[in-house]
Amino acid sequence: MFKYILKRIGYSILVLIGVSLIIYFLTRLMPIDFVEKKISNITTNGTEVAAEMVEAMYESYGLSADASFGEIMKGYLNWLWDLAHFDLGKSFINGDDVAQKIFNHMGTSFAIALIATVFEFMIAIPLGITAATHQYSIRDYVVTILVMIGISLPSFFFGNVLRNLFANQLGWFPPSGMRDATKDLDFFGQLLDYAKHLFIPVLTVVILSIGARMRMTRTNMLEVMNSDYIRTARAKGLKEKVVINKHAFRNTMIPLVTSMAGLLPSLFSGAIITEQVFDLPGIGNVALKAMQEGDIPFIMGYNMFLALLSVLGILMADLMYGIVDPRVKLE
Amino acid sequence: MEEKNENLAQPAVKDQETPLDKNVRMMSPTQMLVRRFFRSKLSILGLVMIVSLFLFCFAGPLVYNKWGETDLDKSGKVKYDAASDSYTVDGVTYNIRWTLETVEEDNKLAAPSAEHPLGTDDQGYDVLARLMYGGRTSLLVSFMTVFLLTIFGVIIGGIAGYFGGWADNLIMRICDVLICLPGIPILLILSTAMDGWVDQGMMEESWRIYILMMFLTFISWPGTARLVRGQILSLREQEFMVAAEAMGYSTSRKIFKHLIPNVMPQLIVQMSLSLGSMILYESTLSYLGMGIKPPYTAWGSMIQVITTNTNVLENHLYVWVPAGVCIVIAVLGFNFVGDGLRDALDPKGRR
Amino acid sequence: MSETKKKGYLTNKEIRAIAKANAKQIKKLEAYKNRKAEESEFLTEMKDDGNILEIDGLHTYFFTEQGVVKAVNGVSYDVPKNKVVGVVGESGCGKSVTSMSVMRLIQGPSGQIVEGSIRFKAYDYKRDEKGNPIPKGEGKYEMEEKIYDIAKMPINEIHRIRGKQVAMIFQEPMTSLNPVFTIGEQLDEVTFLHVPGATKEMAKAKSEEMLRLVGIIPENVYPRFPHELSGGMRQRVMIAMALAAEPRLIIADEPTTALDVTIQAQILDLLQDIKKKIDGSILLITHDLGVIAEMADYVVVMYAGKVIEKGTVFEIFQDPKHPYTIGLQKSKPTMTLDDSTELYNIPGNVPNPVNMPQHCYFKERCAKCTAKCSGEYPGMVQISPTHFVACHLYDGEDKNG
Repeated sequence: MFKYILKRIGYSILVLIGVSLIIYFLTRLMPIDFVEKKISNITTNGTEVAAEMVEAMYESYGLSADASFGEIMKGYLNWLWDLAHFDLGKSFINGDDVAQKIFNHMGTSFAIALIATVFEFMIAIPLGITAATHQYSIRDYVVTILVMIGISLPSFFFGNVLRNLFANQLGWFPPSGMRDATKDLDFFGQLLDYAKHLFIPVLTVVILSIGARMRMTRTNMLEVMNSDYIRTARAKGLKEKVVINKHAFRNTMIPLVTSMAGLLPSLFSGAIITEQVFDLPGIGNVALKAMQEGDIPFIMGYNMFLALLSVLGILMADLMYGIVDPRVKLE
Repeated sequence: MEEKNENLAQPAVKDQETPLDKNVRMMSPTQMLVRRFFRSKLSILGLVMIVSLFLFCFAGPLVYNKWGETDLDKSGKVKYDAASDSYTVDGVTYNIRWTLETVEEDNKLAAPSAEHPLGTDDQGYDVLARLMYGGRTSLLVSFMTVFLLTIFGVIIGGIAGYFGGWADNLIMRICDVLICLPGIPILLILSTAMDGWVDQGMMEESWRIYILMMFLTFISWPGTARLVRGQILSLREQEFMVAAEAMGYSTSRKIFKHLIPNVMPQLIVQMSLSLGSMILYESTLSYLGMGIKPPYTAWGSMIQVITTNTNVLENHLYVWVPAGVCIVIAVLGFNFVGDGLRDALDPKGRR
Repeated sequence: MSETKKKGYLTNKEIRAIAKANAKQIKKLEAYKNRKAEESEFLTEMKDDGNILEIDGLHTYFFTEQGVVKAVNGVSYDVPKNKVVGVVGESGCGKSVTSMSVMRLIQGPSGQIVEGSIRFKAYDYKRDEKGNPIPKGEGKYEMEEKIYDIAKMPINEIHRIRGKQVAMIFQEPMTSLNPVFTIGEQLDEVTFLHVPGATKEMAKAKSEEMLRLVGIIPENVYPRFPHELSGGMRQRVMIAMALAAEPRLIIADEPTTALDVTIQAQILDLLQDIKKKIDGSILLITHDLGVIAEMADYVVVMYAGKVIEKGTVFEIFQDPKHPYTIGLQKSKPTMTLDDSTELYNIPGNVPNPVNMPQHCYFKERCAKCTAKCSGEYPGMVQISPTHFVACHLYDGEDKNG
């Protein structure tokens, strides 16, 4: 077991190196003159920057003006070396430490994603199970239609529709931001304020992601309900409720718990579109702005962060699988 | 429960000399697929949605040809009407009266009318016409991407599955890496890089969406490749492949005559489902301003305006809502069709 | 119908018509199945008090997209007390569906019991007005005999029968145990379920006793998960689980089919052994005549959803009457010195289950077919007090007249 985990971690590091290579080379596709222009535009509002300053910047990010393969590799290795020391460099725009910036903003994203995921599982699992146990009934069709709508709605469109309807037209909720800075509120007031601000964003995320989860639960449950051991459980004389809630549920939970473990790291990654639509100070929105400004160190740091999260997710899902399913032995 | 013989069209009878019943004849798998597909109301609905969208986008401009994709409505005339002035010079009063000619202006954000059934957008383009032309772009780009993606995936997955060994190993490791790449963020990097190329005159702005979608192809083939590989691995173990081996068929004959036709149904399902997700990808990129740039358009680009213009978001729904509805219809349609096909392939694992 | 013949398969229009008709039937039958009913509605009387189970005119249909499949089409047979009844027939003849009907395990909504009765003499706890069992010493309760008509029971009352009165051993031991619970948990569950007020110790003691009965050392198996056991072991566990509630009837649905030949022999020996030890009857379903000959007291031969012959094991093996039974006997491989004798096979196939003919289903394959066979389906002819056959050849010999 321990050996298996070590092996998997080793392999994950290899995958991450592959990912970082692709990300680094992509970033280096940017013409260096353009980067220079961007930097000077931003740092000095258009006036010429001292050549040494630009040079110093290149140096610190491993971005040599020489775009030969050898130089890029050297830059990459430098960057990798810094990464190994948890140094993702400093932002072009304002000199913030990238790692610090990611850390500062990921909490907001995590909070939103966590609330949304909790609701998602709480709604999707019971609905998916009833749909499966009442196959071909009205509720099954309703769930199916909901699933299809959920996975077919574009987030930017649906988010804007909700925002326009509930915030701009009806005025029930504030249209954007996390909190109302103009008011001085006590603890509960603040909590209520957050809840008010996050209601539509969370609703958007839940509706968009619930479909896939419901479909997964339903398919799994159907498969389990048609298996021989469920027939055995019924033949024992167990009531249908016990058959579903004990024998079937335990088996259905295996892939669900596994996917939940896989999902956990991705909660930190931020929802770019939703955060952009509702102008929330999450990591996704910050990254989008950085990308529009050409803030290379931040973009690279953010992408590496995302890759790390997905590698972690896969790893955790595998480990969880070994824990919840007695048939699986991790070796 | 062997008695529960649901697939009577596929009798479990080995002895073909005496058919199970004169009324029951074997149908080809494709025939069965089509019949089962058309039995589901949702699949038919999906098909109707897609066909009508295609008609709307490709035949629509032939009927509704008042406005082209890049025709600005210049009818927003501003009239400076008669003005007069009078002044006196040496006791004589001169009355001067002049009329200024009207000035042509773009008819921006016009409300829906007979002239513009869906009004005009913030630039003065006819929304209905743009919806049709934008749809062409969105649909074509998505189709192209899925087509390339599938070819790419089939070839690579086929190689991995058929030859196995180190080739398989290498390809699967590359898959692992590509699956960990973040989708939209990495496209954002590329788009920023392209900003540079456009800035340096190395690239035309209009190439952007095509390059982005090509890159999307490049990073999203692992799904298809894994599917094809898995299918081929399981098919290789089956009797008919062992027979083909024993008959001494050539490799290409084995692949193209025996393996590919057997993978085909799953591929078709995968393709129709990825068409939906590609439309989502394309429109998201366009929405973030990385897609088609004016004067040309796509559905996502038509919604982009609301990111900067709250007035349009709140007061001119006709500018952005129709494009969103079109995207939803397209994605829903492809998902319904893909789902219907999947059910038709495997009636036991419905939905 | 003419269009069907021409094109060779059903048109979409016909399929929709079938689906509509099916939906109507299913709705009615499901409502009957899910209804709430007083006990008196499904209490009945046995025809012969020596029987524990009487299946009478049972019809179980599957409402499929192609039409109604009459998987069980008027089946009647009895299981006498403390006897083994073997049901034999080829795949798809309805023998398993009959047993599933007894357990009410037919997969709905497409599969439904349409008519007929399944009378079962249950030995249930006597209950007071509140429905609680009346204690009689430690872990013992007062019992009484009740005769239920299983086919008329609402589905939410069926737990009175399942497991406690009738237990079942399935064909697929590899997949019939829940993979996420240990053997012990799954065995204990039976005791918890059927013995009111059972404690954990009681359940464990009972489970271990049952494991010993099926020839397993409990310590080795009780804490294990199913995937850690071999197929033969799992089947033993399934048998132990069936025995745990001391049922009056055990249905063994092809218990040896999925096992290796050597393991098959072991499981058969075990069943033989258990047959002597328990106070109950066994309904053994198989397509293996050898198993029947070894185990059964009575034999029922089924063909295409109907019983075509039934009698004692001697009558069926020594004096088979129906041409199909005779054919079955002949197609059994035997060791002879003459290598040239080819294994006998009955020509042709079972008719399409959707469009069953009006005449005898075996007519097309029968060598002794007469003009009468094109007429209506033959009725049951009584050859001896225990021997019945459904064939026109014996129409004159009916002892009942």
